[in-house]
Amino acid sequence: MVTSTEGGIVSTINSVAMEHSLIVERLSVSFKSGAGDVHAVNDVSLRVTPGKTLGIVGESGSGKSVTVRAVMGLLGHSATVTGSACLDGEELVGMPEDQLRRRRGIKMAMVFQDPMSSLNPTMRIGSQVAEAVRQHRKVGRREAWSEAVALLRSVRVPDPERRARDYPHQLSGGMRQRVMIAMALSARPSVLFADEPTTALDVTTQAQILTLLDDLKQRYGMGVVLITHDLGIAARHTDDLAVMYAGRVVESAPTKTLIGAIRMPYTQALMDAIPRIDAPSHSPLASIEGSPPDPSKPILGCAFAPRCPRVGDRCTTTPLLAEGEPGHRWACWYPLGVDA
Amino acid sequence: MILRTVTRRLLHAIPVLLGVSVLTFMLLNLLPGNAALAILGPGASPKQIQIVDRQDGLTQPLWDRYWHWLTQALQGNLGSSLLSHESVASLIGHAVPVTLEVILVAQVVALIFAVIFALFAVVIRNPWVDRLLSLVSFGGISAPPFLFGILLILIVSVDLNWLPATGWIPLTQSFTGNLRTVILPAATLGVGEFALHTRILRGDMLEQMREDYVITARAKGLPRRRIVFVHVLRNSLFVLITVVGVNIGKLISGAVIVEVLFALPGVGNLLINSITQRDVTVVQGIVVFVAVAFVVINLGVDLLYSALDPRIRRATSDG
Ligand SMILES: Nc1ncnc2c1ncn2[C@@H]1O[C@H](COP(=O)(O)OP(=O)(O)OP(=O)(O)O)[C@@H](O)[C@H]1O
Ligand code: SF4
Ligand SMILES: [Mg+2]
Repeated sequence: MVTSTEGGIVSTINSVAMEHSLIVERLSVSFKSGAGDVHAVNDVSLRVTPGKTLGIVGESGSGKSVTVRAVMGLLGHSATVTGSACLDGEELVGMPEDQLRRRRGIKMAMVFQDPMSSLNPTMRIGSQVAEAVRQHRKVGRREAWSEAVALLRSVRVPDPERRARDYPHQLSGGMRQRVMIAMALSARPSVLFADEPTTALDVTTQAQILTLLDDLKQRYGMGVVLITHDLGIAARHTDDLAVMYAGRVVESAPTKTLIGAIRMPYTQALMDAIPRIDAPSHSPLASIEGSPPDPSKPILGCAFAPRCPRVGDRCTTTPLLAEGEPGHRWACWYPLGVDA
Repeated sequence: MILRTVTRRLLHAIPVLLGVSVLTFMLLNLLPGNAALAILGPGASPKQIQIVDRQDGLTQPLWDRYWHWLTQALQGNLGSSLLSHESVASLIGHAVPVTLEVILVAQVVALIFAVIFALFAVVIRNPWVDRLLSLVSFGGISAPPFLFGILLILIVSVDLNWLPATGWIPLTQSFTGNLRTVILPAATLGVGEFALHTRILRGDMLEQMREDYVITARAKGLPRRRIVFVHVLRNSLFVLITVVGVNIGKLISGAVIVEVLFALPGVGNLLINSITQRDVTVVQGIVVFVAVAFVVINLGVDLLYSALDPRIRRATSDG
């Protein structure tokens, strides 16, 4: 593609920068606490491509939220973040809070799990969206308000002029989540983090919100990071997948590849735990037997070993995430479907 | 809808008010000495006392007297003073503006300062500021108000001679004169309120800072100051309003002490004087008046709260 060596380097750098809007490299997060440090995230590497969705899947406590909050700089003072997170060519780890703040909402935005508690209960939703608009552009109040109404319309809130004057409790869960999305979109961020955006919603609404996210991603060409513990949702709505367990990525690949050939026993266990479509919407989640390890204690060997049906002799040493097949990485000594 | 809430609350207040009036009636009857003694002086003979008592209707059985008082009170007639024969209603009417002004000034100024101090502590986030503030509020909450009042009198009035230690100039007479007489009483009454409000507001704001909607606001890129001033303060003020409502009783009893201390012609002083002189009709009138005022103010605070908070607004309009 390129002839001269010099040009080659430049074009390689450019193509990397073009290809990925966010590159997370060996990100680790630990929290200071009385009883030893909590190592919530260890050596996590992720790549987000514009116009595509990266899914992060894992059980509760596997470090999904902490990872994306670390990238956004939303963790408190008790968190120590190391490694790198490069957004549109800018290093975010270690960036002073004031500069980081100016990138929040504009370059990266976030939608949370519970849209009721994530909206200010005493403020009209239109004002909350308009506030985001005004934060990023110098516009007057009335212009910001009509912009907010337009944003609400773009996320398909019916009758947005009237709805904008409502308070959060006057809306349904799905509508509230649309409001959160409208707010996050106000400055057209390059990356949108959606942290379990549909966990609090019923199945029909879930599908609507996820489809909306798919549309918006395509329309604006933004990269989406979709966090979920439902591998079924991830299979349908993501392009790439990273499976997390005990603060680490244990398997990653393009979604099709991964779902077609699951290697890691933990991923398989998640697959088996997918809630059935025909089950009542609020039936308890099928879950994996046993519980994840305590992140405040050191882990020897594979963290999944106590719960793993394939556990063997080598599992007492930690398996590292490595490319086992082209584009498909896993961290397991005895991967499924591969003859050792 | 609001009308229904108001009616319900007022209906609930009726047994309370009846209870208060019966209780004061009985307690006043148990007090040694009577008004006749106060009028005639210590040298009065039992015969003379009985004559005056009969004029006042005090020789009738307790229950008859209560019934007579109640039927009159329900028609708006609280009787007249046993001593000055002035009507109780007009005695209270003259005293109320003084008490009301002291309470209002104390409450408003305490609230303003509490908001400023709590905001400062939350925005600054300095452990020394926090420590100082909690020391001040601890002192303000636990020290009896009259202690602070006496200190103020000693320093500001006696030592520095800046403000009068006692007396009252009504607002209708002179604005500056009124201001000079209201400052010390209001400060004495307000310091405890200020301390309490500061502590509650600061605590609630720090709690609100951990709410999800604050993370959303941060994720939007809002600066911390805007989050504190626009989102958190606003939501914490709702909590503060309820605390103000709950604390009205304390404020009224504090006003009695302050009025005596600064010799203000308010309801509190009138009450204390009437008790010492066994002017039972006046005492009875004041107690019932204060009880009614308490109910009405509390109701007012609740209505204000539900008018301001959109969550409650919904709740009352729904059911
Ligand atoms: N502020 C904190 N201080 C200490 N430990 C924390 C803190 N925040 C998170 N953790 C710990 O980090 C680990 C990962 O938490 P995280 O919220 O990222 O999990 P998650 O994968 O998002 O789970 P969920 O599906 O429940 O949202 C947990 O063990 C949690 O207890
Ligand atoms: S390394 Fe061993 S224990 Fe860990 S997932 Fe693979 S087989 Fe199971
Ligand atoms: Mg989470």
